[in-house]
Amino acid sequence: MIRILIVEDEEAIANLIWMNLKNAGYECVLAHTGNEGANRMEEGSFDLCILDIMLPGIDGYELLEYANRLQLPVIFLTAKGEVPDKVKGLRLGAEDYMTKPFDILELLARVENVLRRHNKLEQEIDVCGLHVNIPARSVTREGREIPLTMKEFDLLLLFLRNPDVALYREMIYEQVWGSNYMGDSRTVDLHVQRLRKKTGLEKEIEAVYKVGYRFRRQG
Amino acid sequence: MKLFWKLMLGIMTIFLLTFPLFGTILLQTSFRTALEREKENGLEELRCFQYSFLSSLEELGDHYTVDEEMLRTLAESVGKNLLDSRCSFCLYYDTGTSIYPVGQRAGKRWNTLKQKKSDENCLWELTEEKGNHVLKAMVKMESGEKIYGLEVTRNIQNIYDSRREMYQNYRISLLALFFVTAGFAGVLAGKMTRPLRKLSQATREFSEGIYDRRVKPEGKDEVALLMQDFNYMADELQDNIDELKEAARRQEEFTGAFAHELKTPLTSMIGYGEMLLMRELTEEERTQAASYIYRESKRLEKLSYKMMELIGLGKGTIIYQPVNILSLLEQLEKTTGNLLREKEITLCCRAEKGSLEGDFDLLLSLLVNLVDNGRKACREGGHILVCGGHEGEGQYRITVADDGCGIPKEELGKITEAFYMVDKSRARREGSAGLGMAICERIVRLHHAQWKIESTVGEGTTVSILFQEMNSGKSKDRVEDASASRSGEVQHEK
Repeated sequence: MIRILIVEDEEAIANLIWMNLKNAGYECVLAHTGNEGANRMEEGSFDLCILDIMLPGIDGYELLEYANRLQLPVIFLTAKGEVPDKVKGLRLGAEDYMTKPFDILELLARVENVLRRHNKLEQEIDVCGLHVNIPARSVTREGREIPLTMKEFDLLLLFLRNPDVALYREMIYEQVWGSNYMGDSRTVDLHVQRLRKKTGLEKEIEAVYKVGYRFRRQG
Repeated sequence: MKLFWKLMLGIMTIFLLTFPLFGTILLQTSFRTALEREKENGLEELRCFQYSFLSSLEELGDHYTVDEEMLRTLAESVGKNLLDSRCSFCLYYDTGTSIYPVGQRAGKRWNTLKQKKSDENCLWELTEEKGNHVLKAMVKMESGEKIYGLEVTRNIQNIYDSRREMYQNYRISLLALFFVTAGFAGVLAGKMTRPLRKLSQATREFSEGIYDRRVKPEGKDEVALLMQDFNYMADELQDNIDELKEAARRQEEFTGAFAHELKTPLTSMIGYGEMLLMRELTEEERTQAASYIYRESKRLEKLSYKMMELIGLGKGTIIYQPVNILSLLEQLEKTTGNLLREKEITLCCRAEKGSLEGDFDLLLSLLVNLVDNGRKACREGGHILVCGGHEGEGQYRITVADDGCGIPKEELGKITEAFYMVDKSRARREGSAGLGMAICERIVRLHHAQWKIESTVGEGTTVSILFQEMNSGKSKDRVEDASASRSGEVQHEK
């Protein structure tokens, strides 16, 4: 189980991150002050830390140095959105820098990215009879290889990583195609149809009226 | 042309105009005087010669017959006795032929002189003879029936020589003086323009952004005054620049803090909203998400109200009216009553009657904010004391004191900054936007009052505000009439 430390003084935001990361299958620990964050870092072995900068007590930058010593990757999540702040945060050794307000899906994607870079993400996923090997980018069902295009594979991964989450067409497009959604939903629909057919996840990937699609985890 | 050269040129022009002119006049005058003296001497000699010659001639005439040879000898001896070496003389008959020295003829002037009756009359002239300037004086002598002419020639070349010599010396010394003056003028002009050069250098440096550049004024002349003025201007400008910088910095900080305060509730609202839309949540999760959205929206609403208040105060236009302190405190108790009751805090108001000049609502807002801060600091069952009393001449002091948690010393200076919160998470729990003290400060400033915040951690905080009391007699009367119905001193305890 991947363990993530969340250091955030704002209770509402801390709970928001915590609820969503927990839902994505991570184990989360909350710290509300800088000092508490430092103590938690000492105590437990974490795979990632999501850090606010403006904290009561020890501030985020100091905590980052602490985390660097413990070789704990850090994502800054802060209201300080100026370029110099971002540059400072990244220069000091943060893995990523996100500004508030943020999209949950984007946070999850960035968390995954950082975890993948540090080889902490699970390499293989077994779900609904599918076996997905991420580094090899291969999908097999009962030993039989299912040929998927690059986009289809990314799409599948997005569904598998966000179980029980209704994904907007815009979000899907932005996450998989990596550019701004221009209003053409047919591309997404087409790929989802093909993915459903190829992988046999016709029931699991369901359409959500007026929104998009959702992957429903069985059992 | 530079001022230096102007000064130089001016001084030298004056020198060139005055010195030669006055020098020439002076030399010429002294020459004239010398010439005049020579002339007088010459005439004197002439007269001496005349009398001495005539008296000798008369004496001789008594005993001898006077012939030409005798006349000549007589004239020669008189001349030898009376005349100095620079002089020579000439004796004529009235016909114009000379007796001594032989073989000379009298000039035309003799003919004019001869016509004159009195022998008192004499003539003189300045001529040049063999390169020498001479003074010729001529007189008509009558001895018996005979008429003689006497001409004394006096060599006055020496005064011409001395005049020439003096001119020569004067020219040399003038030349020397010219150079000395030029040097002196240069030094003077340099000295006079030096402070100006320094000032101009300082001005350039100042305009290039070295705002602490100042000049050292020397002496008490106009330039020194200008330098003092420059320093004064620089001081004022520097103050203004510092003030502007400080204002810009504060503005920037304020904007940053405001953006942060805005982003925090927005983050929660967007996040929970997104979550509600995307996922099927459990009942408990949904309630939590909804309550977070509600709470954060409320916070945003409160922030926007407070911001409006702060911006409204920033415009600084309020109508000053007499405000009765007793009714102000009465209103304060009413407004804060409910909130205080929740935490079972006792509010105690004690005030002498009096009136302030100001805006009733703003003053109420000030006191409500302070009491509310006290409420946040207090534990359940705490106390807040509001006191009012006259102080000194025409001043009125209102103090708001609580026995809450207090403010650490190092934080005291910052609490009036917008969005500054000593204990952020506690402030959030109490629903604070961090603008209360900033608003209070503006209100205090608008009422031209001074305030002081004293605090001891664990013991409580005291805010005391010193107002100028209303002193215009007319309005004071009116206010006192209005408060006459109330008891002089109100002691009200909840």
